[in-house]
This record gives sequence, C-alpha cells and structure tokens, in this order.
Amino acid sequence: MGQFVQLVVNGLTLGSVYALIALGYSLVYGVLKLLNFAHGEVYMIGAFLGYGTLHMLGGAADPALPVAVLLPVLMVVAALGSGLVGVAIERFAYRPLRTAPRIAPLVSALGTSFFLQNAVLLVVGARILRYESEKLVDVSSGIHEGVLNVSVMRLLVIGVSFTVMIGLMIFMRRSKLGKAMRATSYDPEAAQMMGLDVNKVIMVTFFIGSALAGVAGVMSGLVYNRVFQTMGFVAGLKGFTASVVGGIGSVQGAMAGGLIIGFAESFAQGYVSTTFYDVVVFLVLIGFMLIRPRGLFGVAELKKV
Amino acid sequence: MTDDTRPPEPASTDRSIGPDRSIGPDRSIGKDQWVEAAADRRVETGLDKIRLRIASTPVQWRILVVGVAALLFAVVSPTDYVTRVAFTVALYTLLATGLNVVVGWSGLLDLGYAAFFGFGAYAYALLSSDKFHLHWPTLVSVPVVVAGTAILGLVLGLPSRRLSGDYLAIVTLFFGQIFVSIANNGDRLQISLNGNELPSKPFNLTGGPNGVTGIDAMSLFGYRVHTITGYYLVTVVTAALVILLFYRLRNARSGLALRSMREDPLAAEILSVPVRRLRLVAFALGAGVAGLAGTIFASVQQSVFGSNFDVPFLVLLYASAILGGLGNLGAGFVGAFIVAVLPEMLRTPSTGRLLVYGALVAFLALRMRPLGRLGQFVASLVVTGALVRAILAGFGTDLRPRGSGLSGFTGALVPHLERSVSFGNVAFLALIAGGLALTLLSREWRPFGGGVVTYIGMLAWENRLADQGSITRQLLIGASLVAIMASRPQGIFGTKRVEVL
Repeated sequence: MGQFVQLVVNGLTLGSVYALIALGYSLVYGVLKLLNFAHGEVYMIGAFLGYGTLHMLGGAADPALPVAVLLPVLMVVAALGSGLVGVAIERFAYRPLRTAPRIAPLVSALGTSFFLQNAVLLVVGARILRYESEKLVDVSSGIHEGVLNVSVMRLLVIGVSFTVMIGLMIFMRRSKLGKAMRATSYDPEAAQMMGLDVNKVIMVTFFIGSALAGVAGVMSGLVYNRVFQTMGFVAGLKGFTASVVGGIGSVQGAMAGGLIIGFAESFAQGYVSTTFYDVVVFLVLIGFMLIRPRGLFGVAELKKV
Repeated sequence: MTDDTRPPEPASTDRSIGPDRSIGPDRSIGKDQWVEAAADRRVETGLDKIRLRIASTPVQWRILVVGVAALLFAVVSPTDYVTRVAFTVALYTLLATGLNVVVGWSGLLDLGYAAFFGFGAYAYALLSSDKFHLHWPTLVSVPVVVAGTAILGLVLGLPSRRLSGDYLAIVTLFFGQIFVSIANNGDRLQISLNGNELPSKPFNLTGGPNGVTGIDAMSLFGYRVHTITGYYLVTVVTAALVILLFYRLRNARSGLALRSMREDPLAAEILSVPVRRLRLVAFALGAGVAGLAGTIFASVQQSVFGSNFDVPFLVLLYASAILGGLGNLGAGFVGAFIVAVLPEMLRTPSTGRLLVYGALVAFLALRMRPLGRLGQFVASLVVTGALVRAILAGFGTDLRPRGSGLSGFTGALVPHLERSVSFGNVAFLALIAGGLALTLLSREWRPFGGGVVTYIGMLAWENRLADQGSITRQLLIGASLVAIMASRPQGIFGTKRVEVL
C-alpha cells in the first residue's frame, strides 16, 4: 500500500511536468499542424536558465532573495527566456517552411534540436548540474501522514502546473487572443481573411508553449535536482506522446495525457523494471497510438481527396 | 476514406496554364501538363545544370566510373588514416542509399533507421565473436543478419499500416530508443514470475554498456579481410552493387509504385497501388541495407556499443542523405562525403582553420558581386574588428595570442584571450543571434551585416569553436540541416518536387 501511494505521488509529479511539456506540443500542433521536435530542447534550456538565475542570485546555499520570492523569479526568468527561444525557433526554422512538404519542417526540427543540444554542450559543458534544492527547502517539511509522503517541492510542482494549466484553459476560452488561437487552429486561411494577423498568433502560440516548457524545466530541476544537456530529448518525446495520448490540439487532453504518461512511468518503475521502464512506457504508447491515434480528447481528422 | 458529406466541389481544372508550352514536338507523354509547364519555368542554377549533365549519362557508367575511381583510391591513399576516412564515406554512402529508399522514395520518415544499423551490427557481433563462442562463416552470417534485419524492418513497419506522417516518425523513434535501451541494459536480463527468477542467473545478451568485443573479421572466399584497405574495397563494391540494384528497381514497376506513394499516397491507392504493402517493402529494403552496413561496421570496429546507434548517429545519417539530395540515390555519396570528411577537417585547429577561412574566401568570391558589395563587407569587417579591439583594450583585457600555434594572419586579426572560455561563449551566442538577424536584413544591408557577423564568427571560432572540433561538427550539421531545409529542401543534388495542389 505504501509503495502504491508513493508511486501515485511520483506519477503525479512526473505527470505534471510532462503535461506542461505536452501543452507546448499541443498548442503548436493545433495551430500549425507541426510537430515541434525541438520543444524538448526548449525545456532543457529552461532548466539551465533557472539554474543560471539561481546561481547568479547566490546559489541555493545562500540565496539573495527569500525562497518564496526566489522560486517565482526562477520560473518567470526561465519562462521568458524559453519563450524567446521558442519564438526564434519558429521564426527561423519553421516559418520559411510553411508551404514546404510535410517532411521538411520535421527534418528542420531535428536539426534545430541537435543544434540547441550541442550549443548548450559547448557553452555549459557535459557535466550534470545540481540545483541543490534540498538547501532551499527543508526536506522533512511537507505532508507526512501514515503512508503518504509528499515533499514541499512536489506539492509546489503539482500546484504550479495545475494552476498554470487551468489558467491556460481560461485564457484559451475567454481572452481575445485565445479565441484568435482557436480560430487559427481551426482554419488559418479563413482566420487570415477575417483580419487576424496569423503570424502574430503563431508567434504568441510558440511563446506560450515554450514558456510553459521553461517552467517545466525549472520544476524538474527543483524536484529531480539534475540538469544536463540531453535531458530534453526523452522528456520531449514523452511530452509529445502525452499530447497524442490526450488528443493533440486539446488542452485538457494534454493534461490528461501527461498524467497518464507520468503514472505509466512511475508504475513501470515500481512494478516492472527499474532499467527497462522506458521500454515499457514506449511499448504502452506505441500500443495506444495504434489503437486510438486521435487520442482521448481528440477529434478524428477527416481526409478529403 | 472520405467521410465528407458535403456535395463535391467542382474540380479546379480551370487552372491557368499560361501559354501552352507543353504542346510541341518535345512534349513528353504521361506527364501532367501543369507539372511540365512548371518544370519549364524552373530556374536552373549551376547545381541543377551539373545535376542534369550527370543525369544524362547512363547509370551503369556513372556507377562504374565512380566505383573504379573509388577502388583506385585505395591504391593511392597515402596512409591508413586516409583510407579509414574513405571507408567511412563509403559506409555512409551505403547507409544513405538505404535511407533514401525509405525517406526519399517512399516518403516514410523512419527515425528508427539507426536501430536497424545497430541491430545488424549486434546480430553479426553475436553470431561471429567470442561472446557465445559462435563463429559463423561470414558468407553465412551476413545473409542471415541481412534477412533478419529486413524481417525486423517488416515487423516494425507494421504501424505504417495505420499511422503516417508525424505519428509514424514518433513510433519509429520509439523503436530506436527501445533498441538503444535494450542494448545498453541487456546484460542483466531476468524476469521475475511469482517470485521465481527466470533464468536463475541474469542472462547477459548484449554486454550492456561494455558492448560486445572481439568480433571476427570478415572472410570472403577464403580471403580474410583484416586491413582497413580490404574493408574499404568490400564496402565500395557493396555500395556500388546496392546502388545499381536500386537503380534497376527504381525504373521497374515496383520502383515507380514506391515513388508514386511518396507523391500522393491517396491518389496512388486509388490507382490500385498496394500502398500499405509497399510501405512494408520500403521499410524492409531500408532495414536490410542498414543491416548489411551494420555487419561491415561491426567487423571493422571489432566491437559494438549501444551508444553507437543513438540519436546523434541518426541525425548524421539524415544529414548525409538530405545534404546529398533526397530521392537521388547516387547523391548519397555527396552527403556522405561532407558528413564524414568534415569532422576529420575539424579535428585539429590548424586544418579546421584552413576549412573555415577557405570556405569564407570561396563564399566571398562566389557571392559578393559586384565588387562594391565586397568592399562594403570588408569595410564593416575591419570597423567591427577595430571596435571590438578598442572595447577589449578599454577593459584592460590582455590581447596576447594564445600559445596554441596561432600566428600570422589570423593571429593579427582576431584577439585571443588567454584561457577565456566565457569570452568564447559570449562570442558564440552573439554569433547565433547575429547570424539569425542577418537573415532578416534586406539585400542591400547584407554585406554590412555579413561583415559584422563574420568578425563575431571569427572571434567565436578562434576562442572557442576551434578547440571543440566534435561539438563544432555537430553544430554545423544541425545548422546545415535547418539551412538546407529553408533554402533548398531537395538537397544539393535532389530533384525539386512540383506539388500540384
């Protein structure tokens, strides 16, 4: 029982991070019908930006700001930085290819991802950096009742990611920009004819999606305490599948998908194998994609001849 | 296929074709009129002219000429090191050819391709090494491995019956990741069933991170291949045969069907092309070639490791297939040459410098016309240089050249800061930002911007990139993939697709 509860908590934490990454894929795919392969690297850059900011503010051992201010500052800086990186990726790697055959943006994305990974490798080096978040917050604090053990950091991650996601849902439903994003996603040409600046909408979409990935990066750095230049690849892969599992293009779907992947990974680690959990997760995902490619909340795409 | 319930729209056949150029004595039969007209309008750059010239000689001759030249290279090659580089080119050519069949012809984005190569290498390693004390003769193990990899390709291609495009790409990428994970962790295989451990002792299949070592050399027809020259010859002959085979296939009915699938799977299906079956065939063909290359790789290296077949290698293969030109089989050679020789050039700072400044001069000579543009470029380069030096001197920075053999021209031009990694990093980041900004400048401002960016690039190169040859290579490959997609999606020697919408 104890193990089960612990795995649920782990899955929830992991799932919140994946869900935030999945949202970026989902938003971008919704608007551009483009698989942004470099999204995982944006997440990685976010984690590094958070680390750099923490370091500049005196490090975890001796922070210049109180923790309650410091953590939001880290997230905001990472979100802004990652958002800009995302906008740059869109502008330079994807916009020239909007009318190109489908395979071109994918290859370009692969190249971008490879470039970003190596750029970080060049600038930062190959070592694994540690946030040392245990020095920021007392490890023993949090909820500890019976079999339930949840550290403050995990609570923070789950709380922040759910707040952000609900905020995004309201934004998409209520705000004018959200409406513009939905309209562009539905039919970019028609949206343009209605006087929408589609390029601007796409830029905003990339900014929001990448900013969420940046926040996810900081949070994963805080909880898992490991930041390295290849962390984005597998996380991006899982984030993408999370968005597919939930139904690509749907905000609720990305949340649900992220949690499903998080639980799948956590339970595979706990009950199946600690070395082959990735294999188990991938096999489950392949099965899911084969059985229901449009995902839980997705709408089947009609093909017109 | 279509669930659309709306009444069919009138077909848009009234597209204006312009002056009817397609009717005349040269009109080719069986080509779409619009495509034909578009082909006429196409601007032929120098590269396209070269491509057409090459394309007008018969395939067998082309392969023969390149193949014989490649074989002769083994004789004139000065050192084993050069032969090894040439071997890498030949191996990548082979791999790019296989990838071309899957991606270039059939339009299936197979991101598990590196795993097929790895599977071939591991299968050969397990069948012909001390690992399980199996020492199958080469002429038995290689066909078995190739057939096995092709069957694996068939099985892993099965999702293509239901998925296409991005989803298929992701699923194949999963397969690749699963392969790497199994290769890296396959040394302690054990299943626990109701408390019973099966097998009782962990089974070591792949050697885990230690890989498989002590792999047999190939022996063909009683001759044991043990030098790199021997392997080079084997690879060249293999690649030539495979390319020839695929050329024959290309013009056969099944090759035509494969290519029709890439252009428009739906239309091909309506024309009774068995699209789903052909996708599997394409996967199997590509996988088979990758498996064949894997056996050669394993026997040359005499060892295999899971990390050999991870994503960086996949990107390398895609780069070599795409740089050469997707859909053009022989062009894989060009891409392979670039991808394999580049890292060798970047290995030492001095040859790397030759490459970088040589490329810069060549670019200026080709593109900076009329001379006024060149003047603008040089002026902005010099002004930037003077400014940077003044600023650095203002900070009291020491501008001594570093001890790593820097002298003469570049030493005088670009400041080298003593062990200043962060200065190089800043220059590198500025180079990225500047390079991106450069693409936004209008044509008349490009020479000025180009001068500034070039100087920043030289700073970054001398202070950081030159020391990190392998990272620089990866950066160049990544950036060139993006650049080539944006400027020339068909690759250097590819044929441009004319899309009829």
